[in-house]
This record gives sequence, structure tokens and C-alpha cells, in this order.
Amino acid sequence: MKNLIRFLSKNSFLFLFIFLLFISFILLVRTNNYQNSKVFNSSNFLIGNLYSTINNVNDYFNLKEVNAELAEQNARLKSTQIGTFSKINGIIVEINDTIYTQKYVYTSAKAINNSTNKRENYITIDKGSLNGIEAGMGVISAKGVIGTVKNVSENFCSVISVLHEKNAVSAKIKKSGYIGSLVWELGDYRSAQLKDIPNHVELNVGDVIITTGYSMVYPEGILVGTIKDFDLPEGNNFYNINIKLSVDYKSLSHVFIVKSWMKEEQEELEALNDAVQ
Amino acid sequence: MIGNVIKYGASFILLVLFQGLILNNVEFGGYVVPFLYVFFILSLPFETPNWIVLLLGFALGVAIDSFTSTLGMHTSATVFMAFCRAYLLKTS
Repeated sequence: MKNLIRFLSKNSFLFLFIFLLFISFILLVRTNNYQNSKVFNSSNFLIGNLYSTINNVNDYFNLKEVNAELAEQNARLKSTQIGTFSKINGIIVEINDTIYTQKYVYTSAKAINNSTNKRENYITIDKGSLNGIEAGMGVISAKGVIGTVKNVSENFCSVISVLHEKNAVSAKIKKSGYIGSLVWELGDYRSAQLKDIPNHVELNVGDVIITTGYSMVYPEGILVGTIKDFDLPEGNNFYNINIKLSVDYKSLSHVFIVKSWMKEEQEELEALNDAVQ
Repeated sequence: MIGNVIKYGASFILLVLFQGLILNNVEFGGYVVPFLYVFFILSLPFETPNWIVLLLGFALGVAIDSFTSTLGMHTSATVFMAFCRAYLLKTS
């Protein structure tokens, strides 16, 4: 006992240092998410490899769900095609239909690289300029909005994800039609914020948010998410709304690239307004 | 002794305020933030007992961390720095 006390008092400086460092590391890990996940990850490095192997196997079991999702979507798309409607009078058949004109064209593609943990997240997709992809096209999936094409190479394109600090999507509340802009603030890949909704609008948790189609990047009515929670800061004219995103950005696979036939026309028209001023 | 306490107490407060309110907003080339506050540990007199330096380092780190809400980050660095200071002074 005497020896122990002498040992402790002799090395008191070292022990004080270790004690203080220990406290600061506890503070560091408990208050900072980034370090928290780092510590968690690195300590699981060995198990992580095991998990990735198991995940590869699990993916095969998920194929059934993915197929079901695709089949469901195919069925929905087929049912909206003009060919499925039968003519009532059955006499006149017009080849060059002037009532309908195609506005959007979809290209099916697959996400091959993806990140969700950075400030500026990009997704790489396996279709490029050879497939007619151009910068500025929208990307959606069966579940909702993914992002906008930024750079295109021959066989690939990179997409600015919705999970990008500087990407804003024009979105509206389906029920009331009020328009705001959807921005992602760092952190959770499952939620984003809807800005510019004035304080007189009636909101409910669970209200559906869809795209507006104003910018002609995405078609109107593509699902964005649902309202998770909202509050009105005192003295503020706009709500703070948290949106639960409908797309799980961590498990992207099949996506659609949207080409709008009328985007250039709209942009040219709108550019005229600026030129007059 | 009392004079020193007042002198270094004032320099502690001034450096923390200067760091937290002004220098934290300075970014050279986008991500280099100048951290002047560590000068406080360097400026302490040589005859200061080592354990006081450690505790001051801890307090300094917590004070800076509360400005940037990264509790523990600067604290661990300043505590380690105070620890190294003792050995550096012994060897030089």
C-alpha cells in the first residue's frame, strides 16, 4: 500500500495528464458525431470486412424486392400509356397526334458509386454522352428525386445528389400547393429542410412533398418526402420544416434520367424576360 | 505571485476572446484557421508547477471548444501540449 501511494505520488503529473486526456477524449467522442462514428468504425474494422461479405450475399435476397418494385413501376407506367386506352368511337385514327406531345423521356440507369457522408455528395451513374445524357438533366428513382446531372463523360455521368450543400430542389406541399425550396443541411442523409413556406399555411406531420416541375428538370409530382416535424420560430415569417426523404440514398441502385424536350424552349423564353429588363 | 495571477488571468481571457470572436472567423485559403490561443501555454513562466500548466491547458481547451462547440477537440490537444511542455523544458 505504501509503495502504491509512493508510486502514485511520484508519477502524479503523468496520472493527472492521463486523467485530463481521458476526460477530453470522452467529451470528444460523446459530443462529436464524426469522431463517434470514426471510433465506432475503426474498432469494427475486422468485423466490417465480414459484414461486407455477408452484405454481398444478402443482396441476392433483396433481388426479389427490387424486382417487385420494378415490376410495380412497369405496371403503373404501362397503365398510363396512351396505347392502353381504347378509342370510344373507333373511327378516327390520327398518326401525328397534335393533342399529345412528349415532354419527358426517361433513360434507365444504374448508380455505380455513391456517397452520403460528405458535405457535397455526388452519385456516379453508368450512362453517359453515348446514351444521350447531357448536363442539367434530372435524375429520379422509383421512390423519388435523386439529383441533377453535372458532368458527363462518354459512358458515365456524375450527379449532384439532393444531399449536396448547394443543391436546392423546387418543391411544393401536395395538399395546399405552397411552393418552397428543398435544401439539405449537413448530417442526416434521411432528412432535409423545406424553406420559404410562409407562416399562415396549415401544415400537418406526414404531409406529402412533391416536385413542382417549374425548372423543367424533374417532371411535376415526383415524390420528395413527407413532413417529419415543423416549428415556427417566434418573430419569423417562415416555417422550419424537416422533411423525411422518401429515397434511401444509402441504397440506391436503379434510377431514371429525365430528359425534358421543352426545357430549352422554356429557358429561351424566360431569358427574353431578363433581356427586356 | 498575485501580480502574475492577474497578468496571466487577463492574458487568458483576452486570448480566448480574441481567438473565439475574431480569429475563428479568419480562414486563409479556405481552411487554414490561425490558432493564436496556444501562445498562452507557451508564455507561462518556466517555474510554473507542471500540474498547474496541465490544468490551465485543460481550461483553455474547454474555453476555446465552447466557442466552436467541438467539446474535447482543442481540449485534448492543449492538454497534450501542456504535458509535452514539461518534458521539453526538462531536456532543453
